[in-house]
Amino acid sequence: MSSLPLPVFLVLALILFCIGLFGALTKRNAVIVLISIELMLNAVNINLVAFSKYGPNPGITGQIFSLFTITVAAAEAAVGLAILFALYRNRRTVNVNEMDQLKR
Amino acid sequence: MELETIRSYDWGIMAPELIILGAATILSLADLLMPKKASRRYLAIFAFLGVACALVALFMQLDNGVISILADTYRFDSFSKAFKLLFLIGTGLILLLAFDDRKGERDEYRGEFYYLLLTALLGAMMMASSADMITLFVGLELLSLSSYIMAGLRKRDRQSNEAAFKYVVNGGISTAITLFGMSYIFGLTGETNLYAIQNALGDPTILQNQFLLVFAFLITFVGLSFKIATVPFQMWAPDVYHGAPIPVTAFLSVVSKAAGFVIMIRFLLVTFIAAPGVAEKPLLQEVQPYLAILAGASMIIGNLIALRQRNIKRMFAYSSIAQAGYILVPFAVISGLMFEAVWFYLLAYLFMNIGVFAIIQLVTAKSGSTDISSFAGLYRRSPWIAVCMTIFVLSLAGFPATAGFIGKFGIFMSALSTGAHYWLAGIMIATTVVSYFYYFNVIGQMFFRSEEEAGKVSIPGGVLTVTAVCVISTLVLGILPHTALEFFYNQFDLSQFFTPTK
Amino acid sequence: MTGEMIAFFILALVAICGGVFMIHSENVVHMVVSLIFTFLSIAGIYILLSAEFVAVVQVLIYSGAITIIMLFGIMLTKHDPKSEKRIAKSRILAVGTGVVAFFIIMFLAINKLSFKQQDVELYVHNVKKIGIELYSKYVIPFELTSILLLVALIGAVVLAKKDESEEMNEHE
Repeated sequence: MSSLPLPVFLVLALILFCIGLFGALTKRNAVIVLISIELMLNAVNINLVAFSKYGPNPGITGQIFSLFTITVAAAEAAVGLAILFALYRNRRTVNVNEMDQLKR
Repeated sequence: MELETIRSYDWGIMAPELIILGAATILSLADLLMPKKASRRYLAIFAFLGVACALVALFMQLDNGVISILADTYRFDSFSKAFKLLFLIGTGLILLLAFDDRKGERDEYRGEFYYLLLTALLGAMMMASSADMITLFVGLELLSLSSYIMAGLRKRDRQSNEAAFKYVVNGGISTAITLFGMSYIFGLTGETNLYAIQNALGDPTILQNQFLLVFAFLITFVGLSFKIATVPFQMWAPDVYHGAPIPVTAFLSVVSKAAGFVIMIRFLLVTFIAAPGVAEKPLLQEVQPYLAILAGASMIIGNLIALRQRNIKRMFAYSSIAQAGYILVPFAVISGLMFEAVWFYLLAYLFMNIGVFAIIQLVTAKSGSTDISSFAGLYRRSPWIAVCMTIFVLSLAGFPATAGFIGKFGIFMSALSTGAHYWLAGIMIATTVVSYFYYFNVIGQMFFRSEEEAGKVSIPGGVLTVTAVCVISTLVLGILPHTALEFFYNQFDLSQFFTPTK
Repeated sequence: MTGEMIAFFILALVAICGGVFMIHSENVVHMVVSLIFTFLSIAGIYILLSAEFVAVVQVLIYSGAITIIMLFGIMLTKHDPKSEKRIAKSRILAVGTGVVAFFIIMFLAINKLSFKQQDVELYVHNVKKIGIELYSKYVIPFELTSILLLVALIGAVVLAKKDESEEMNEHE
């Protein structure tokens, strides 16, 4: 039916996940760290949607799971950003490396 | 699906969750409608009553068998009731603790704190009573999201802000990793119901993809290890425990951690019990060495770094990493003793750790610093508090006649029972000995140092209740452990856990 | 080469380029804007996978809502463009090696994956199917999500709101 095999989608998702993971662990800007996490969650969604079409038991469930993931990701991003604002108001920085009040 | 089928479910079984949800809703409205300057402190009593009602409702349901609603998206079984009990007791004690949190008196965000605590509890309870991947995930996120906010609620405190931010970033990464693993588990089976997954993974056709299956297991495990704060996701714990307000720290180190173990056991054990590994052995046996290494590393890292800590909250953060490492031992060796060992240790850990944080809250509120020196000479100032603290610390260290000893003994026996895990038991003993050094340091401070500041530490009513309950439970569980274990044997039926509802 | 393949490769290329550009860029706004392309092309991929509804949600939530609040986040905070440069090389190297190792292992695991192709017409009445499942079988997680969103709403308001006492301090 289709000319595109499943692994193609999974590899794309894996590449995006790795880019997101790398960004989340190395970037210093807090906003970029948060958006890198969103990229990782997007990769998960590609997996879910791809499996819901080409998986062993195809059906709508994968798409529903991805809708839940998107919702939760959006909520998490909002809370993360709100915490960042509170922090910025006190510290005037969004640089992750300068967050060292708790290191002794 | 017809309306009739939906009506035919026994929705009453969700009563504990619905009570918590109702209490949280009423609290949020009350907080909104109350005059701005009015003290929010008494909302804690209401929240506590809500938790108590939920506990009563749960007790009334204890005799029920397995009840499943809507394809196991809600599932009441012996596993869920055993652990929901822990969550409710823990949250109730923490609410009493928060009631007397002096530092928060000037805070205008107390109201929010109480209902966020309840929604976090709701998330944890849903994690215990569901057998569907999507519900488990949403419950996990409800717990996490509420905890992020609670950790940051003290907005003008820089440490609290920073703790919350670190928590949100680490939590976000771990969520993504967990989901990545879950997406493969979903992909290999096409199901979200845990028992359907179990069934599909037992199917021989899975054999051609078993390599991916092992990695899916490990990725999910690593992602979930964030919640229980063990290696490799332990680095957030000291910072967050240090920066967050003490009731939040107690919640994170007890209820949230227990919820992490619950989802780990429920999700990973039920789905993978019949799964084949790469070689001839079943998957769960094949991954055991890796889990054992992670458990061992948590015990070693937690206990060794705790030795160097001068800050009491950080010290107990590292101690809680080590404690989570101990609880991971039965999970890593997987024997018949596992459930009772984990459950009993979590129960004991609940009482001793909440007790410790209750006293830390008292003492540090008095001295205004979280340095360990604020405990100096506590015995001469307030002997009773010092004695209680000693009991908790001895229990954490695993001394005989305390709950911690029985718990550790159970874990130790489960590590030995399967054989081939002697080295893990060895690490456990060695690190326990190491832990004596820093636990005894606290005791030494209280009894043998001269006091730096005079003045008796007075105990307000809420903390007094918490301390008394915790001391009595720690001792009773230590001297008469069969009271709790018998309850557990009567209520817990392993077959309910592993077999799907008809 | 079928049309589907060409479409996939273009979309995948744009998605990966957006991600790589995000890693390389030094300007924060450029980073976020490059990710908009990634998010949009992922929506395209969803359409290839016959998930129209998810694709629309992706455009609305990710390319719309999340990128906008992230841009707001950047506008409302101060950014020092130079600070991006001073990242310890050793850390990048260590993380990079770890991520590449993870990629290779997972790639080997995924590459062999194949299932028997089954014909399902997910694109027929896509939204209706989602609706029926969501409001019957998954109604409990759905309601739980509503609580989660409420918690996130309250939390975001409480944390990001400026306190009155603080404002007074600033006026003084």
